[in-house]
Amino acid sequence: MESKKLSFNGKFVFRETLRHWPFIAAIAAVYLLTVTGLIGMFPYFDSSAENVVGDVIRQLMDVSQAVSFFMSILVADFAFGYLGSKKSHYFYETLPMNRKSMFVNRFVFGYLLLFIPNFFIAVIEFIQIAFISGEAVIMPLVCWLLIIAAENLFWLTFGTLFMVLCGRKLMAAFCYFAFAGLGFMIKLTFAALNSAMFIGFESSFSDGVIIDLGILSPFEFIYKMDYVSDQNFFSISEYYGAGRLVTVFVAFAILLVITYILYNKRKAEKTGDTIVFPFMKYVFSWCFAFVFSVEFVFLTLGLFFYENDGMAHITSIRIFVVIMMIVFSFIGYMISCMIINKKLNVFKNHLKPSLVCAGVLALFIGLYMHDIFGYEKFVPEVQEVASVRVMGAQFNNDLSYFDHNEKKKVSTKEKETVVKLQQIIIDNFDEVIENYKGIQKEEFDYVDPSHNKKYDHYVNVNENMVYIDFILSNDKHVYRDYYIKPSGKLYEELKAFVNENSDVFKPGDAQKNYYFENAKLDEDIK
Amino acid sequence: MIKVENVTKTFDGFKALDELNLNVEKGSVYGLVGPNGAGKSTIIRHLTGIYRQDSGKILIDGQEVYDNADIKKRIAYIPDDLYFFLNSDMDDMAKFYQGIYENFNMERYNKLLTVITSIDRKKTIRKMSKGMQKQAAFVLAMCLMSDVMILDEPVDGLDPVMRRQIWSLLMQDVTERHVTVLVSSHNLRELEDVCDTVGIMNQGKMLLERSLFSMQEGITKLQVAFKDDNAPQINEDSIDGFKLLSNQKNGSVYTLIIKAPEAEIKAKLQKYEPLLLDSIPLTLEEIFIHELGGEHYGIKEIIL
Repeated sequence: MESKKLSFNGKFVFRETLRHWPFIAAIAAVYLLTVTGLIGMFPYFDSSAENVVGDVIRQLMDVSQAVSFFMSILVADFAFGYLGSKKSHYFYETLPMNRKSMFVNRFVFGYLLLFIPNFFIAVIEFIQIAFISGEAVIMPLVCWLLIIAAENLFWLTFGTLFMVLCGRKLMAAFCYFAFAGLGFMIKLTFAALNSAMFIGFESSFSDGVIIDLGILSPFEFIYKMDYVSDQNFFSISEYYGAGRLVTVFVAFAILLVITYILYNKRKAEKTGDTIVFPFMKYVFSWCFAFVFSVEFVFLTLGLFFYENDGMAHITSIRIFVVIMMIVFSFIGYMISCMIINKKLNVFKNHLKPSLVCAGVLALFIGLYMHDIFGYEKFVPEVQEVASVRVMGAQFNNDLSYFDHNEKKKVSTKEKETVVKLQQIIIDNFDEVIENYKGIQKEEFDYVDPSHNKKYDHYVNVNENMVYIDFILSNDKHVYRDYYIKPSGKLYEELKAFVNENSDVFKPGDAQKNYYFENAKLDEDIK
Repeated sequence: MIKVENVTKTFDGFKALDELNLNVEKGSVYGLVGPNGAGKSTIIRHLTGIYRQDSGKILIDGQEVYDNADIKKRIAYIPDDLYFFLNSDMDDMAKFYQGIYENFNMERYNKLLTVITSIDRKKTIRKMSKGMQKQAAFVLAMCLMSDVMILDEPVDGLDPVMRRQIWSLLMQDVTERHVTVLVSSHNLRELEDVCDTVGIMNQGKMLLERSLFSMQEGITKLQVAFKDDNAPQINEDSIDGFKLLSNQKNGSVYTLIIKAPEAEIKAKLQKYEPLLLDSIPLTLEEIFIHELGGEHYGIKEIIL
């Protein structure tokens, strides 16, 4: 039947887009103020096209990722808000359009709201760059436009999924993500104050936790994307260029299919603050409890244990962590129930599931800290390794700083040697754990030569770390760091191993590798 | 034109519609009446394709309505709870509808705005009063040139003059274009002048569905006065063998509602040489009270 077919109504999309012109103008204004405005404030010492483009694109990239996320969520509400508001829902559902077509038309309309300002900004930047540098630069702007267009698609679908699942409960879900993000920001702030404080979970033993949180927190996701974009944006043909584009697009496509299926399964009459699919309540509550508990457990640990033992001491307080997890995941679950039910009195009805959730999450964290999943002791096969990067601490010249730049071809021998190095550490893992426990014993009085300032009981954990970063042939990173005391059996073993393989671990090679490209550039200039 | 067959709809265990049947002839005006919570809005939302029934059929011109764009094109709907875009005026809304409804008549739109002069076409609709918004919704609905108009409490909040004007325009459309109209109200008095057929709903069921003509046919309301020495025997529930539905006496004048055709009862009473014998038009309210005999408490709510 004709009416069941999916049909695109250009007039409908056009009208809807047109009437949202203030929003389009607002997004464009955000870009104009933050990108062109900021750049315009700084004089260009070197106005070559390359430098101007670099500044503009970097700024665009930084701004657009944050803007893309926030605006996409907002636009998802504009486009699919009718699913959560009875009045508008009745209005749209009565229009002569089947539900499939409505989904497509609303999605396209939402996407246009995001794309038009981006396109407009790309044109403005093209003019600005041309004006400053006198050159017409197109390709980097097209690349930016492509990447941001893909990211807009992803985040719009992300927001749409929430609208389909829980209508205006999106806001609650959003709060949850914001909460996760806030936690991350707190961590970052504390980490900035003293990076040693977070060594306990920023590095080895709870590294997995923070990575998992990264998935839950879009803020962290943005932060990571921002990092990779800064490093690799111009290499559109490489992983973080075209590869990233493809990755984001594939993620969008999968998310869109899920969203569309759920949209069609959604009963049309479900509106308002309704969680349409009952399973979502549990997903929401469990996720909320998890994020809430992890954030608060580590925050509490930071507050109570930093001064006395340092966060690196975390392995010796596992029981405390587990108890804290039970308490905070229970509270987190209860708070999620309050958000869902919009009332404070939820204790009695949700006592049992809260306790189950608290128990399971605490057990999970407990098992995680015991490395039951083999995360810490994982050593990749040499054949799997595409590239490797090792950073030894600077406490001794024998284990001097060495770095195989990702761009340098790593030989099989080098790969094998680093795998063996990691294997030695894994074989002495008990000592690594002891090193973590005993980290506070390594305090010493330190004089900062640059400021001529003395620090009592200074603990410079970073200098005692060995970082091993494998890039596997499937582009996955396996990154581990281990605390190695500059004394003891493990240290001696590593020292002997490094000496044995001095052709691989050449002191001073790091400098060469690290500045590999620049050095080459300098030679070319000469 | 509109056919609802054994439709049931349950919301979280609550039966909002219970085996509901409804039938609206093409070109007729159907009044859907019932107290609050009777299920009027629910069936209207089914008829406009918002809800999907659990069981039964909802057909307009022989086709299921739900998710059927072809049928929805032919329906104009004025909901009880109106929705207009933020910051949109009449012209914006008209242009929007024009992009969606192929038959939207711009000429008629302009013409109607010259008739209903109280509407300022450049004023943001959301800033208008409730009554003005109703008028705006009515103008826009009239311009869709639909075959079916479904109106949920359409004149609620309008002043008497505007009500008359709206009904008059609607009736004109029914006469000229044979539009089928289904109009809901919780007040019978609102509908008695315009409806051909009335359906009374209560608790998700159709209590009664009948054309006004057929209902009025068997019931007569009379004002009579007799000479003291030549009067028929008037009991509480009968007069000279006819069933009496209502009996009110004011002085020597009786106001009677009798379950019998007018001609028959008049002929019978003429033999008593009454001093006064006039027939009075029955209100819908009276018909329903006596038809349903007060069995259904919900009826009280629709006539008060």
